[in-house]
Amino acid sequence: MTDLPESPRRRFPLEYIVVGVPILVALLHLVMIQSSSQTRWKGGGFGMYADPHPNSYRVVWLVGEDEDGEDVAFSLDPFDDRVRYKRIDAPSRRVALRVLHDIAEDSKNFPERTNAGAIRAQLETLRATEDKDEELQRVLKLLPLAEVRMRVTEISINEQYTALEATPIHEVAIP
Amino acid sequence: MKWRFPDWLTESLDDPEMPLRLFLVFLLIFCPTHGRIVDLIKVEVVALAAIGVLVPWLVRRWEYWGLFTALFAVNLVYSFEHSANHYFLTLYTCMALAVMSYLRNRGEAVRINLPRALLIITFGFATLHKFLSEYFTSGRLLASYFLKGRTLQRPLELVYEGFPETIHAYRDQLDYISGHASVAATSVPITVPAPHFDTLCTSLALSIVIAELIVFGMLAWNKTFYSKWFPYVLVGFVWGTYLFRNELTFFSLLCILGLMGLTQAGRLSRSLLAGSAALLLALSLNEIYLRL
Repeated sequence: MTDLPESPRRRFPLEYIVVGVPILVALLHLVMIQSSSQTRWKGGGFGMYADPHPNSYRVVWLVGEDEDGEDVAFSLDPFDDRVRYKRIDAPSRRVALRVLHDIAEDSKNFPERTNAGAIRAQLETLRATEDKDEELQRVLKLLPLAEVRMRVTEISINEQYTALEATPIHEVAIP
Repeated sequence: MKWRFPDWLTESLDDPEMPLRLFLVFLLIFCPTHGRIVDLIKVEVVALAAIGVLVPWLVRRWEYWGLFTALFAVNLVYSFEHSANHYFLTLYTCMALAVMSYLRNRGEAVRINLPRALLIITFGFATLHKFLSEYFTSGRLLASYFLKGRTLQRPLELVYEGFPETIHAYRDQLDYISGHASVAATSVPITVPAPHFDTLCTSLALSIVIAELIVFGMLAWNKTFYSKWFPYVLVGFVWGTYLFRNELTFFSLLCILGLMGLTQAGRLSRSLLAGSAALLLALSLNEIYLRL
């Protein structure tokens, strides 16, 4: 689409920037996918619909041990329902749940970039407010224990098309 | 009697700035509905787009498109994790329009068909990702969409008896393993509608890769790209893949880029591209997904 006569003087090829930047970003995205658990759906690589969508097929868990030494795991996904569908009186609790949900959503897309400290901060805020939610209380009880970890799992159909399997793709300690 | 376009439509279709105004409409709809754009940026983008609709000569200024580029780039720095691929494509489109306006205002030729280049890059990498993803080429990604009832539900119900029950069972198992029942399961069984279901999914997946590769080739080869029938291929591809996936905003932007880049397009194909872009935007605004 060259619609005007070209100027005789040499000029900086600005068009190559418009072409080069998307290619560079997409190539970087490809490299990052290979070296981390980053999703193809975000990051500017145009990889959507090549892998399962993280919102549906990745789950963020808080894992730890209860008082009896038994392994426990809580999915952070239901917190989204709590924010949307349940009436929560305390604004600080509402905000903490919303932030927790956002952190969990970001962690699905970029697990290695999870801000584990921010998760701890929101859980501390929730712990400081009274909540009658049994599920939430059980999660908060994990806090005093030695090791609480955030784990991201990916759910996929197995090669034989016989089962859904949850595979851990990233785990980080909550400080 | 040969049918002809009414004059009021002809004037609009022949206007070379029509795709730019349509892109402004895209920005007016895309920005408020893209949840993770910072509010301050949203307000500024929408205000700028509205001003551009009211003051038509602005779309010829590189500063105008440069402002959009800067706003989207700043938001990207703040919310990189939240930016989907059509956000990046919107940013690149603004960048392309800024460069094109700048060069034309200086009386210089634009060496590359930038909207075409963006389409080539998008299709190229989209195809590459699918080819590199074993989960896609094995058909399991498509299987997950079918079993969740996200696409082609009615045709599959005609082929497979009891398919609705299969969908319910799959959704229950997905819910279970996702922890909504507070159980940390690592594997749950699922049922496919028929023994050859995996073959169907794999065949369809490979067909999609081949179709995207063909469109990519057509975009990249001058002879096909500048042919009179390629606009119909692009429109057909957009609506064909709409059956599989409801990326309304993204498809709308593909149509708009097609309008900008397909300079040889006749009135009928331009009306199809513009009409498709407008319809997809309207559907996205209402989040109306036409499920087959």
